[in-house]
Amino acid sequence: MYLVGTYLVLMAAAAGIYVGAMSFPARHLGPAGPGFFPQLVAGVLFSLCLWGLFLSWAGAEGPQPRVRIPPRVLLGMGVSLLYILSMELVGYFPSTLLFVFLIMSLVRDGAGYGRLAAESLALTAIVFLLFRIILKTYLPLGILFE
Amino acid sequence: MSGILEAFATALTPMNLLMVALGTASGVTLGAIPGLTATMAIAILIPFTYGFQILPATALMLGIYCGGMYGGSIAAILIRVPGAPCNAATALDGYPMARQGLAGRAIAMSTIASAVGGLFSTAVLLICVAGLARFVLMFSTEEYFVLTVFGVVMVISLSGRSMTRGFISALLGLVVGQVGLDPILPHPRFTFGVTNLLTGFPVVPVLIGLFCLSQGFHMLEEGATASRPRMVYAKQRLAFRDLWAVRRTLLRSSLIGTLVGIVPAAGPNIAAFLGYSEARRASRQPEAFGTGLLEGIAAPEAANNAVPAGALVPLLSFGIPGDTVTAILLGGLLLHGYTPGPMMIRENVELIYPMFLFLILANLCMLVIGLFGVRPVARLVGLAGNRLLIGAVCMFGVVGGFAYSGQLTEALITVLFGIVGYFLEKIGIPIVPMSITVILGPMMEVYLRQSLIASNGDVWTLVFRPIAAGLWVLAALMIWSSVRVNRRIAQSAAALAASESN
Repeated sequence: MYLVGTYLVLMAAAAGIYVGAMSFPARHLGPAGPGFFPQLVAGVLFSLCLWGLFLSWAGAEGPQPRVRIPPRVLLGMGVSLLYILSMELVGYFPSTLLFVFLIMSLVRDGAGYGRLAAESLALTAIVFLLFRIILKTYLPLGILFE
Repeated sequence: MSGILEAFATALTPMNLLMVALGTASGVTLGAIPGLTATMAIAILIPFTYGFQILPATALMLGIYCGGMYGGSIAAILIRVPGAPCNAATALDGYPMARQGLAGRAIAMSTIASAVGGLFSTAVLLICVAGLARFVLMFSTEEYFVLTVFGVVMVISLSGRSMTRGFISALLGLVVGQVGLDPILPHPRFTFGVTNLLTGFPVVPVLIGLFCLSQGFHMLEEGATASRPRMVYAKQRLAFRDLWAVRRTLLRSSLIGTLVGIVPAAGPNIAAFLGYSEARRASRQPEAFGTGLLEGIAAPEAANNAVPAGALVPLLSFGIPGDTVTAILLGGLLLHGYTPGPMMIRENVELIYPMFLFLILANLCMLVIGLFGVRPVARLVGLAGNRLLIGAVCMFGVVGGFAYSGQLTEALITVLFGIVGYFLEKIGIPIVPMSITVILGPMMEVYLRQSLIASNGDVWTLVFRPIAAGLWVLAALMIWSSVRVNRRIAQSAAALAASESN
């Protein structure tokens, strides 16, 4: 079901790309125009997804496995997105500490929160040392602290 | 011959040797860190060479090039994030080996294969450099286009039983590659008014998301109780028979990397996947590829490390850099008053041959570093618990994406592609073809459009030019051969399932 749904979404996206590319300038230039390649790719993608739908309907690709995404994975994705937003606000150190702590909490397997906090601090510090101190790579301070 | 020996004798000074060793060690270290690449390593270290003479400066840069190409395989094996795009193929068998507690063996094979590929190509090119420069002159945009298609076709052929899904994955990568300014008429495409997208999706954060962060989500799914065999040090040695068993793969892949390297802009990415694909096609157990096979590591690593020597041919003969690293190398040469061109190979022997010598020395340094310096690191990673590893992988995924250029937009791109990569793999669409077309797609488009513009829209020029025609025939043979291999694998799997149910 997920695969079929993905094919339908991709077909809609391909149609959108094809139509969107029609608004690009210089269409009269053919291959020289910016819309040529997107329309070519969109056309092939649409056709292939249609073929994929046919194969799924005909059972040619065998039984589709059930797709189950555990809640902790969805939480992990959400935490990852929030991590970036928080990095912009409060900077690398506090946001990374919290991010690693939360990710490891999702799989803590009986470990105490004190231990998780210590491991998070160690990981955060190691990466800070490597990127910021040794390699002089920029790590954000955060809007609140700049 | 005496000219070569004289040039070597001039180049073998303590300073040059030190620069090779330093460059190689730096390249390996920086290449192994997700988010940093050999290009960044050279960019960080090149200011130090401003005051150097040309030979020590070149020694340092070539050491970084060589080390960086290999270093990326370490992260690919240990945590499934390729340090550079060309190491993505290494992760296909390297990471499964690490999951089986055999990371040390995987890294040892990667080290030896990289050294073999690098030494082979350097030796070949030392002899043939002048003649190969003439061959490269025959390539035009049509040949480059067909070469990129060839590379993509190779990757699709690795998609297992469903080449349709592999093809769809490749097309998704082409779609991603179109975001940004049109390369010929600079008009924004699919940027939706977002200024940061005018330069398109940056390749490194996309790859880190697809390979590293998506793997972090898979590990979250498995949870902390997923079993991971402990790495037993005694089992981490590579015996001579292991190397003898992959000798044909090493030779074939080294040759592939050498030939691909001399074609400008073809790059180590095509070489690595071509090498892997060929090894799988020629193998007696193709179904075992992707499960943790030494051959699956030897092939891409020998191929991608054979590229640097090859890339020197168009660089020195025509001033055409093969990739971003050689582009910086070109800048270094110009800075020191050397102008690459057709006369350079004949008139600057005192620079040309030492460059090949430095590559030989860099490969030997890399062998020592890889065999004695890296395995303790692999052991350390093996000792880490699942929870710590999950936290580290997820953190490196996001921070690695950010560290690429210091923009939070790139970290966001990494996370989004991590989610996309996880979801695609869950529903059975492979991410490897997508990762390669994200890299090759923009090049493919430019070559196609330039060819059609030059020929007034005549598509047949893409087919009937001699070298292009040869590549099409080769690509068709590869597809046919891969279909046969996949059918054989499917029949073996069906026979096995039938015998188990009886």
